[in-house]
This record gives sequence, structure tokens and C-alpha cells, in this order.
Amino acid sequence: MNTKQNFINVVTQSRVLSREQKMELLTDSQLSTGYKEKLMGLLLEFDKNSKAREAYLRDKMEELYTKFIAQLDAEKIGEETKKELLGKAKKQMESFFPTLASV
Amino acid sequence: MTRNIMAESIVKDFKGKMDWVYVGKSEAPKPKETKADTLFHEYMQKVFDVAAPIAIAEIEDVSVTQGGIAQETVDQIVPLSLQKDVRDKPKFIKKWLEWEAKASSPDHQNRLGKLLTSAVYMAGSFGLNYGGNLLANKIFLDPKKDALHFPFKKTLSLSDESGNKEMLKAGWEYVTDAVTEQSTDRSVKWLTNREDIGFVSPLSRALGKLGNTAITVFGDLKKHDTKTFVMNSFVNPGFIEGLFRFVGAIPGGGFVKELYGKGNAQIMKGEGMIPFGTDLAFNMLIAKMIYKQKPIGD
Repeated sequence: MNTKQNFINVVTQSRVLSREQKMELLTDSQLSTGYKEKLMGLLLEFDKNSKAREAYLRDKMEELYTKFIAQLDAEKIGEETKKELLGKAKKQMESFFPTLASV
Repeated sequence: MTRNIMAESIVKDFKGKMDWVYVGKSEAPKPKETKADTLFHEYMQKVFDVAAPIAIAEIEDVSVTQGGIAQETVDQIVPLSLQKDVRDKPKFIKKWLEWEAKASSPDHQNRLGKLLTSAVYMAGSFGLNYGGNLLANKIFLDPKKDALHFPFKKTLSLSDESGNKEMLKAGWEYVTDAVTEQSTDRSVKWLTNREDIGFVSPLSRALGKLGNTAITVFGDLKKHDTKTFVMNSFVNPGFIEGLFRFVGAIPGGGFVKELYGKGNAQIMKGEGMIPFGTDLAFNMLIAKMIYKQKPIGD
């Protein structure tokens, strides 16, 4: 894959760039190859770290969620309330991961 | 600015869901908290304890990455705007402006500090060399002395015909230059607490030696005139290095810094005009010196 295509892919998938930044980078034809390579290095490094953080957080959230179910069962919370609370907890957990699909 | 990062989702989420706001009279009934609510709040607290540090780390990483992007963009924009501004100017002006822009870039700031440090090193190198020359004049290069006396009745003639005075003077100059060079290098190591750096570069070392040879050839050593004496004290690697760095740090002196860097690169590689030029000059000076010595031998 050449630098140009690689740059487009990295910028498009970047987690740190705003939509405006992505548009500017993808439409500017004056950017040098050296600049693009340095930028790709920074973006890929951030994405790698961000994915690692997300994976760690998801594991922890799953763990807490499982424990929460066990607690609700132990306290004999009614099915209706349990369903409502677990729904809220699940929704809460999912809202943390806007980029869930990319991991 | 719209960004799709995990940290912002976490912060937004907690802000929206955890703030309880009561509006109205103080006797308004507070919501009744059941066991299930308590369990849920405990669960949310644990979620927060895990998610908050990760969100903070993510936000910090965003700042660092955006800072890096900004820095790279500045480095990209400066040469481009420069090209635009100087498009119609002669080539050497373009080059000069390019070097100046490079010398003024964020990586090469603190010009005042560099000027002062270079000035101190120049003064120190000159002083050390001057002091060394004074000492030599008092001990063994005194014009009134016609011989040096050593133990066991050994004597070294200092007559003009012997050439010994010139030999001693050249040797002493070599020693004082080496001491100056070592002193500046050592002081830089002490000041920075690093062993891998020095002050004097190969270009200054080569120019110092070349300069000394030229003074020996063209200066009238036998007369001991003040001009040659002072000149000799200026021409040493420490002073030359300081001068290069000083001029390179003056606004407008970016080209000196660039040429100096290129000269050093050539000397280290042993290729290019500068190593060739110094070799050529040495050969010519030695030829001249031999010519000057001939009448003495006749």
C-alpha cells in the first residue's frame, strides 16, 4: 500500500482527529510525504493506546456487570426491577464505547 | 469540534446521570431510595472508579497527540509560507531566508542564552591561550634569552639561526590549543553532567591548526610583535568554536550555523571542499615554511 492510500486510511480511522481535522488533512494536496509519515506515526500510536485502554475498560466493565447481577440475585430483587436496572447498566456500559465496532 | 473518543463519552455520561438537582421548596419530597437503587448506585460508583482514571489517561493522550500534530504542522507550514513570500527573490536570498527560518524554529530557541554562553567560552579560550603565551615568554621564549639551560650542563641554543625558538613556539602553541580545547570540552561535560558531548567540533579544530600554521609562516616570530602575539591567542579551537556558535545565534546568522554544520559533516566524512581545502592550505604553508628556512641552512 502506498503512502497516499495509507495516509487516507489512517486519517479516516483515527480516533483522535476531529471531523474538521480529517477533512483538512484529506483535502490538502500540499502536504509532504515526510509530514504525512510523521502524522501517521502519531495517529497510529494514539489509536494503539486507545484500543488497549478500551479493551481493558471493557473487561473491567464485564466483570463489574457480572458481579452486579450476582448481587441483585443475592438480594432477591424482583425480576421487573432487576431487568430495569440491568438494562440501565448495560446502556451505561455501551455508552462508554463509541468506537466498539472498530476494536 | 466533533471527536469520537471514549474519554469524552465517559465524562459526558457521568455528568448527565450522576448530578441530582432539586428545584423548589425545601419540604418537597425526596425520591425514595430502595435496596435496588442502593445496589445500582454502588455499582455505578465502582464503574466510575474504574472508568475515571482511564478517561483521564485518554484525555492526556489526546492533548499530547494533538500537541505533536500541531508541532509537525508548524514545521510543515513555515517552509511553505517562506516559499510563498520569497518566490520572486534571487536564489541566494531564498537560501539565506530558509536557513534563518530554520535557525529561528522552536527547536533552536534561546538565542540570548547561546550568545552569552558562546561569549563566555570565547573570552575563556582567549584568556587561557593568552595566559599560556605570556607564561612561555617569561620562561623560555624571552627575546633576551639566547639559550635554555638544563641539568647535567645540557644547553639548547635559542639563536635565530638554530630555529629552536620557532620549534618551541610552534610546540607551545600546539600544547596551549590542546589545553584550551580540553578545558572547554571538560567544562561542557561538567555543566551538562553528560559525558557524550563536547564543545569543540572537528571544523574548529582543523581551522585552529591551520590558523596557527599560517601565523607561524607569515608572522615574524623573531620580532615577538604584539600583533602576532594577540593573534596567536585568538586562533585556538575553543575561540573559533565559540565564534561560530556566537555568530550562528545572532539574528541573521542562521546561514553561518548551516554552513558550519555542513563543514563539520564534510570533515567527519573526509569528503568535499573543506577537507580538500585544509589539506591544500597545509601543503602550501609547509612549502612556504621550507622556502623561508632555506637561507638559514645556506
